[in-house]
Amino acid sequence: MSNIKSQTGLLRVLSRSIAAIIGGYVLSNLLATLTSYLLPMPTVDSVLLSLQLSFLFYCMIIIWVFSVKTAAKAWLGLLIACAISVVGLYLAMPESSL
Amino acid sequence: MNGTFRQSMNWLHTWSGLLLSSLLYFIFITGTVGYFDKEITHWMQPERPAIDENIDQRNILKMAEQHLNTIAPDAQSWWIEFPIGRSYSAVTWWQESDEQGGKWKSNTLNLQTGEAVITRETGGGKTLYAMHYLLHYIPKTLGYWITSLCAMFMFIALITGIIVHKKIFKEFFTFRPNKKQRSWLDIHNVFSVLPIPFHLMITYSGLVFLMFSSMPGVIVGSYGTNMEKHNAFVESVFQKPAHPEHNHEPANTLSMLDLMPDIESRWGENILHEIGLEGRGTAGAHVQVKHHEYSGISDGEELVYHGITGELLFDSMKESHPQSASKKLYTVLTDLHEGNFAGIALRWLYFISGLMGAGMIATGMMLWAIKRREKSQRTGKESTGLQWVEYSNMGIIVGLPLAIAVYFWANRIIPIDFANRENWEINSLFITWGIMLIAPLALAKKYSPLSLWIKQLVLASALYLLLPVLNAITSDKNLVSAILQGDWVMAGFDITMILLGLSFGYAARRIIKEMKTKE
Repeated sequence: MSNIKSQTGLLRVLSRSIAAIIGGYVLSNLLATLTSYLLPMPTVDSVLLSLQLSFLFYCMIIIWVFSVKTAAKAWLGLLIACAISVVGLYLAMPESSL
Repeated sequence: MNGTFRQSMNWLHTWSGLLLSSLLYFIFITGTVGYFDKEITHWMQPERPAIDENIDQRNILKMAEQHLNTIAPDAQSWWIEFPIGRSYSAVTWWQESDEQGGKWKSNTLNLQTGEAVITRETGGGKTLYAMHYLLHYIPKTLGYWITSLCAMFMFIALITGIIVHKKIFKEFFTFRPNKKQRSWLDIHNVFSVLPIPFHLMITYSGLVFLMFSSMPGVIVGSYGTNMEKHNAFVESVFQKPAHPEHNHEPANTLSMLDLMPDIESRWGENILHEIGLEGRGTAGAHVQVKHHEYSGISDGEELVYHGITGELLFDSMKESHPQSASKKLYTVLTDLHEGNFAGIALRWLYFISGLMGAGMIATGMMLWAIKRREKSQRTGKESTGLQWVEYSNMGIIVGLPLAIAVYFWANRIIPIDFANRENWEINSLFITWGIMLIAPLALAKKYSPLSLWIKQLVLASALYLLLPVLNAITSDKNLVSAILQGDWVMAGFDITMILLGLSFGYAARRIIKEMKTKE
């Protein structure tokens, strides 16, 4: 943890924090939206429940981002997860919406 | 990160807790104070008549309707709040017609005369409480976003805090006084571990409260970016019982008094919290009736009558509309957060848990600074950043409660007819807090940190201890008369202020003692 004080260390922490806060925010919105498509209940209820779960997703993503070995791995993981969720959203999107 | 999972989580716990700690402390303190918002407003409007629960609600309703008839004959809505439970006065509310601007106004009634009491303009407990999710001086939505971000940081700090604790329960019973860093860690654990269910509940439900603003992506996914559909979704969540259709045809609406026999035959006498007539003077008028008791943790029973014919349209006891699981979860979380259902004992428990939350944040801030201070003493390296944190800590931790005391002082000192006095009460709070944040830095050359702590604590103590005196001088209420009259809300406020003053005084004495033993 001593290298955090060095400049590259600080940059790495910054990069990881942005990944967690912004990347995590985007991914948790995507995951919660996917959940709202998949839950077998009326739209109002599935959206309401997914909104409430979204913060659990966000929390788990942030903890994961800070637990992997390098910031680059965290970014890569987030990108892959976002890509998969977008594909999932496209496949699961109900025809009625949009 | 580098090192083990536990080390990473320890790092995350420290920084997610610390980075927004001053805002989180502000949110916890103002939110906690909010559990007594109505009691605070009662103190901040000493013109209000003494609490009298013994007057029959039919008489109150008669008086209120007469009052509203003279003062707001053209209003589109009339509401009457009865003095029952945590409502400490009879209050009439009315909404001006749309042509007049559609504003809501209210009057407190003197039940002896039936006249309105002229009460001072004040933000009261309500403004203080609303700051915990709106903050102040900034647009509403920005306030929602910042408080949501703070709540997320808090939630991460709580979860990682649980992860890093090996022996969470053993540590709870450990207290090693007078050991500096260890003592601070122990007290941090006491504030965190026992009320952890409260901390988790209040933080997560806080996030849920603001989710319609903070997580728009999920709503867009099903309802698109069309704001109308968006709003229709939010409205369907807060669905209200059946009302007659909007109909603006002029019509003669009934007197709410006429409904009292039917209401009392269903619920009994003197059990109303509120009664309101919406859509007055139109064919779509209806009367909403609310029971004062909560059913479990949720709002109490409700009746809706037709405003022309007096026909019963809705009875929550008979047609409890079935709720979906997600709606139930949402209701449970938000009801638990607000704690409206809580009686006096549970309300104090809410209050104490909230204070422990603020204490958890404050001791976390102290712990961070003390750890680094001890390290810098070992290595002999002086850091200005650390000094800065140490000085701002006192301005945050003691300065905020001190500023809230000044808010109460401003309520009594600002002249009654002063323009915008309501805003100046709040301005005094923030000006004081600003001074308390800057003063330690400005005086750093002259005084040691400990003596600056003592100065703020003594000042806070004096301001709180003298509030009952100020109350006695500036109003016709005081602690003794309040106790004799059985006005426990007024007396309770004064006694709580004395206890707070004594606590700050005790803290100051502890530091003075410590300084003496050092010498």
